[in-house]
Amino acid sequence: MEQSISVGIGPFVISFKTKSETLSFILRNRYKEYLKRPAKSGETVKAFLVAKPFNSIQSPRVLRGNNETVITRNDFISRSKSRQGKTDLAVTGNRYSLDSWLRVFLSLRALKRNGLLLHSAGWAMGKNTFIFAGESGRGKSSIIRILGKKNALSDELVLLYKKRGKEYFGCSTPFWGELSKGSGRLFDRKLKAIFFIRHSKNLELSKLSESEAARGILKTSLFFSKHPADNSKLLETAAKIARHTPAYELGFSLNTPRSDITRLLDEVSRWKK
Amino acid sequence: MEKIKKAKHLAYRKIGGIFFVVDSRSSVLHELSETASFLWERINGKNSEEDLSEILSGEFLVTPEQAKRDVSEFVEELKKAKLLEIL
Repeated sequence: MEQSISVGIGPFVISFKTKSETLSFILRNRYKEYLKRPAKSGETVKAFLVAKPFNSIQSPRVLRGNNETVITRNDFISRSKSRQGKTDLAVTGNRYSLDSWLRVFLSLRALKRNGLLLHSAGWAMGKNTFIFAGESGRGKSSIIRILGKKNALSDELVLLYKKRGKEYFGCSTPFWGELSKGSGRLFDRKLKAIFFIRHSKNLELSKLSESEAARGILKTSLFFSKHPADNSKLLETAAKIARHTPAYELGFSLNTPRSDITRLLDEVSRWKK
Repeated sequence: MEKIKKAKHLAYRKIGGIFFVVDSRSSVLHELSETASFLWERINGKNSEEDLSEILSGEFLVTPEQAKRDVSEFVEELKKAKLLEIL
């Protein structure tokens, strides 16, 4: 019997339809904090289970053409009709495969709304969210360990998107790094500042220019499409975020007291761009 | 003189005064300096290397010889990175 399972991440609701017990089980368990009622509008993904990897492609590829988008790797392939919001997905029965596919799919959907998935940790304070971006090893999980998981959006990938065509928001995702899993709380808050982080002996903060911020955003965004139009949109999105969001370089160590960082966040949130 | 043009497979945008160029084929991100950005804006299929040298020496405090060398180096780098088409 076909089951319908809807997953909502930020403004995106993706309704999976599948007859596979394995995929239903993975979807309900892996994304249990993100399960939603099916939305009238949104994406429908017809998911089929495949027994084993079917090609040798090791990293995801995005192909565009004839109003279709194909996302493929050795353990999944999907085909989306651009205007209909309908996707067929064949995937192996493995949570990592489904996760990887969803990341790529979401990154393309986010782009349509001037958003992106940023390799970053996110932390909510009051009505705002602060993003700590950086490649692997820069300290995304470390900063969440210091600040505490309770108010964390993720320690690996945060979704940034433009809400109601106005301000940028940062929201929780099910994609976590070293900390594996969130606190069970989901956040969708106004983006207050982006920090590009690095390890350093002392707590150090320096303001970044618009172009430096854009460089950081481009280098830390999750993006696989080789289509020039997608790349143009990525540049446009990075430019918009860099223009409207204060950005800093932040050096910290594992010994930096939590109160020093929260005090700094408090100060930064009062500064004007 | 040969006219030069940006390659078709590129996406580029000026952000904070400088150009970021993404090569869609290789997914490589290129970041241009201010002077390189100035020249990039003028690579339009109508200007040749010589034209760019003249424009550069007219705009910046460099001798025509220095401008010629700078433009030539820049164009070579762009060619090497496959960011240009020669018409």
